[in-house]
Amino acid sequence: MTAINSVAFVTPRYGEEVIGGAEHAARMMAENLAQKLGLNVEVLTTTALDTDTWANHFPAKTELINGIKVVRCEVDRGRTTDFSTFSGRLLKYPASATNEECNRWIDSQGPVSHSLLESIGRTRADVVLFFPYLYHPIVRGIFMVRERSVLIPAAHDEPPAYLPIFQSVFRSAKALMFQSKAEERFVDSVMHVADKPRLRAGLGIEARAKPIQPLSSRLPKLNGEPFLLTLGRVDQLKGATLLSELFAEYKRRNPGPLKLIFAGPVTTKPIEFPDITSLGPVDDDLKWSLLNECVGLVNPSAFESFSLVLFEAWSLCKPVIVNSQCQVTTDHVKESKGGFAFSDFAEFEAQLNRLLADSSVRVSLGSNGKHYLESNYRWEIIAEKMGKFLNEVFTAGTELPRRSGPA
Amino acid sequence: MSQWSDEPKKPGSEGEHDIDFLNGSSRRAESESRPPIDSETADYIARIEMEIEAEVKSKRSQGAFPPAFERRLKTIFEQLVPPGAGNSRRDFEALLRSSDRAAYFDIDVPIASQKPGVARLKKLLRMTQAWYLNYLAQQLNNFSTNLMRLLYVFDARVTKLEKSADSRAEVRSGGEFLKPCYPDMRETDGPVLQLMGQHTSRVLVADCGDGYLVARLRESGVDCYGIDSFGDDLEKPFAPHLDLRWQELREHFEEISNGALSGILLQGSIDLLPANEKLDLATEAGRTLCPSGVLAVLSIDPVFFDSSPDLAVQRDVAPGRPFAAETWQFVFSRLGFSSISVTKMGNSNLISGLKQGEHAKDSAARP
Repeated sequence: MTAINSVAFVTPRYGEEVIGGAEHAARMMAENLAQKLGLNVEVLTTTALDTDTWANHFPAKTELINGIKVVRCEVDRGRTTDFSTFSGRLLKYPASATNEECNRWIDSQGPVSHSLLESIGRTRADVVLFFPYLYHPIVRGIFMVRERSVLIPAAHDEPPAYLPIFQSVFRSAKALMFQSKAEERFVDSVMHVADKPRLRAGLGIEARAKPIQPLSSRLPKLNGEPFLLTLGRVDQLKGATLLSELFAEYKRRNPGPLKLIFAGPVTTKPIEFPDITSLGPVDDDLKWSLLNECVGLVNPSAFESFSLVLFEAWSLCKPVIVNSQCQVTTDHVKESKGGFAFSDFAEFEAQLNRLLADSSVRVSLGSNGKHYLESNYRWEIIAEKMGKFLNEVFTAGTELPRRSGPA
Repeated sequence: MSQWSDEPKKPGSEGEHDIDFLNGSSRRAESESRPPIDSETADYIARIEMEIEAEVKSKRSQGAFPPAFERRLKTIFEQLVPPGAGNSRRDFEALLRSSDRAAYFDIDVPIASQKPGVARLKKLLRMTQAWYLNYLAQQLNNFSTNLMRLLYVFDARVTKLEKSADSRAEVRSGGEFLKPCYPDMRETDGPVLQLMGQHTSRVLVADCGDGYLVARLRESGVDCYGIDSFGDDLEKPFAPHLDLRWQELREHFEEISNGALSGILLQGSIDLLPANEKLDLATEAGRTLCPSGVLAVLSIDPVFFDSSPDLAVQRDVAPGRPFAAETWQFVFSRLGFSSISVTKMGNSNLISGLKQGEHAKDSAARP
């Protein structure tokens, strides 16, 4: 069906064990391009799992994961011990960083894998997709295959994006793929790449095939009490502290059985409060059970490049509440009419009261969200868009430059 | 079905037009906020949102959220993203609101304490110092109130200027008013295709309309895309899968780095822009071209505007006058272009020039 036959993904970590929005999205994209478009897909990645250290975790070998060939290359150097201090200082004024400082930042952040760079140079894939923009393999690797490269930045307004080195990384890409309008606007304004071919497709959501277990079998102590759910890394930067403070205040002013459940790896503990529970990382089955029985999902993060969790909630017709400081989630909510966006406590309280008091509001918002998802963000739709886009960019007018050598 | 666009499907949009362009129809928000749901549901949700807003206002006016309480929670918000971090109108308003809330100096220091007797001690201290702090706070509050008032007045004046500029821009961009002036490229595309067809790397066609030229150039192997400030014609693209975008040319240039393009064709609304804006756009085009890149301006001959009373009126009320071919040649030469040439195309002139540079980009031009 497509003239492009093969694609390679370059991402610093990959696998079913990898938890994180961007990495999960990369795996879904790779698997769906293979399944839906019949492309030969390979993934070039490292043996790392932990982004704080990039320590070697998986064996360095080629393996098949859900039908995708995954080439794992050993990490030669993970994150350096002085990275945090150096980065903290540099990122206060990122735009004025020198070339030398930028290079040091990239190298210190890691993961540095020379064998991965060699694999990128050797790949014979028609198109090489780099995902996300921030890490060493992407920054160093994209220059090696620039005429075949697509950068999927997963960028948002964060200090590292202003390091001058990233402008040349973005410029080196032949084409760009964005997950949201807000991301596209941000990248164009900071990286000055408005001339690049681009696709704004978002990410696809897989319809859940497995039946969802009742939550009582996994979390009996909840005892059927209503709860709000927040999914993903529990981190101050992701709004965990904000949400727990807002919720505690809400409960002080509005006593009742409502609880707040955090489900995800904990970086910053939410505040101690009787009705707030942090479950830590949860498996997929428990995640879907939680989603299925929650009153609604809250995403308090101010920084999101797409926010898959909103769509997971909408897939079960659950309403969402988002932080209006985040343009991406606010755009989704406005366009779908599938939830509310709060900008202060007063709004949060009023929105939550309305959700709790009126089941028709919950149903209506959840249904709107589901409709939005079904119309725009199923993998069938996204993969089709991606296939056509890649063909148009890489086969129209010019022959694809291929590198010789073994795959 | 829209194949390149991720714009959410809108009510009644299916089956109306086959929108097939790479970047979606628009970078503009107002046309994209319509929900993909029926109007009854949309009205219902809008009503709920209004009720929530009214409830918040009512609670605020009843003093349900004391300033110290709001300030504490606001601080937690601001730890995530400082207010006004962006430069949009929304960011500005957020910053203004936030400054307004912070402008009041409250001497009512919280005195609660879990340690026995401390609350009473704090209360005593507050009472004994109130006369002094009140005196200072009054002066500070007077100053900050005046300062905020000044900012609001500035905002009103700047907003007025912006609106005035917007309305002029509307005239400039022309709408239906300027459209009849556009040359019909279908009959006269030969010289443009010949000129731009020499470049395989990225070529921009400004005011691309339905993308006819973009399609023709892509057929001849040119990596070409178009932008258009009107947007109407983008809804009915000449061919599927074209990279056509709805964006103002000036804004687009601001988001392109130096030397990124190998060819630029300016046409359409540029003719009736004021002279300084024409020159700015030509300068920006020169900046974004790579060495040996070609800049072409397809400009309607000023004499053509005398050929009918309607056209004469159009020219006379427009913010700017079309340049004669000789004027464009002069501009090109002042901007440092070489190999400047003029080709007559019906009622229009095609003026072109090559950007000079020490290192011509080999890949830009075909051998």
